[in-house]
Amino acid sequence: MNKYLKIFLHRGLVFGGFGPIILAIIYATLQQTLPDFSVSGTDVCLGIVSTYLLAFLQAGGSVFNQIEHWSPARSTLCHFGLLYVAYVLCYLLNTWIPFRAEVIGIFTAIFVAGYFVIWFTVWLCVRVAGKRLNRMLRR
Amino acid sequence: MKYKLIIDREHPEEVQVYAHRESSLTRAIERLCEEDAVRLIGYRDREAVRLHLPDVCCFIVEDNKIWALTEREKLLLKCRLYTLEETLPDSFIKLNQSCIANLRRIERFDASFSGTLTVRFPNGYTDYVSRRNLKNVKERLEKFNE
Repeated sequence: MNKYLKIFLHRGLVFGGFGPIILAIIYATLQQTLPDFSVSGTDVCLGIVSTYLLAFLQAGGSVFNQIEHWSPARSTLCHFGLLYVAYVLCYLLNTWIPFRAEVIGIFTAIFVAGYFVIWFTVWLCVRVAGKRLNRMLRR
Repeated sequence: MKYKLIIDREHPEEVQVYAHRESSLTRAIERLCEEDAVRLIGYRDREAVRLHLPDVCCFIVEDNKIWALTEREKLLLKCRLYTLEETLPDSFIKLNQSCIANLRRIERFDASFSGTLTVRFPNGYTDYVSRRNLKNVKERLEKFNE
């Protein structure tokens, strides 16, 4: 089996369970705060399976940054693409957002903004690390 | 510290240092000796040349061949990168799967657009530090600055 596929599956299996845990916390919070909150058994099942897959793909997708023969742009694009598809499908399947073009458009905009904020934070961290290493070099 | 050079063609070549404690100077001498002990042959076309390690900016893999990049030239090596890594002194560190850099020859580190750390050498060549090797690079630089 391909080394990276193995890492993908391993990480997915290790962290996949966090999806349903987070879903359970959200359901519990909604139950406590909204008096008439209720979900059907089918919704719960669908939620558990889809959030498990979402967490699985998100954790596994981090392997893209480790594939050294891929260019950084390619790995970033693949990572973004995988997460976007996984999130959109998960939200649509659970009807957390309606299947309407304008809503998906707004969701996409928020997703891109969120991804950019995280990317920018990572870039800043790398920049700080680079500056620190440059100071060491000059010594 | 006093310096004494004895030229004696009969005696085996060695460096002995008498010091009160280990210092940056003793470590530098140790590294120089380690570098001198490594004998590597590079090929300029068909001409074999002995590599002077302090001049090498980095070793890279290109078209499944190993190249030594100095400031002025690119020499072909006939060995594997992992065997080379084992023989090189501490001043050389793996940046990614296909590049081993000479820490003394790194010009600067930069953050690239894709969120990775890149390394620039005096010959203009740039390569990136993989996330897996970043910790090792930091530790090695810290060790060098002790």
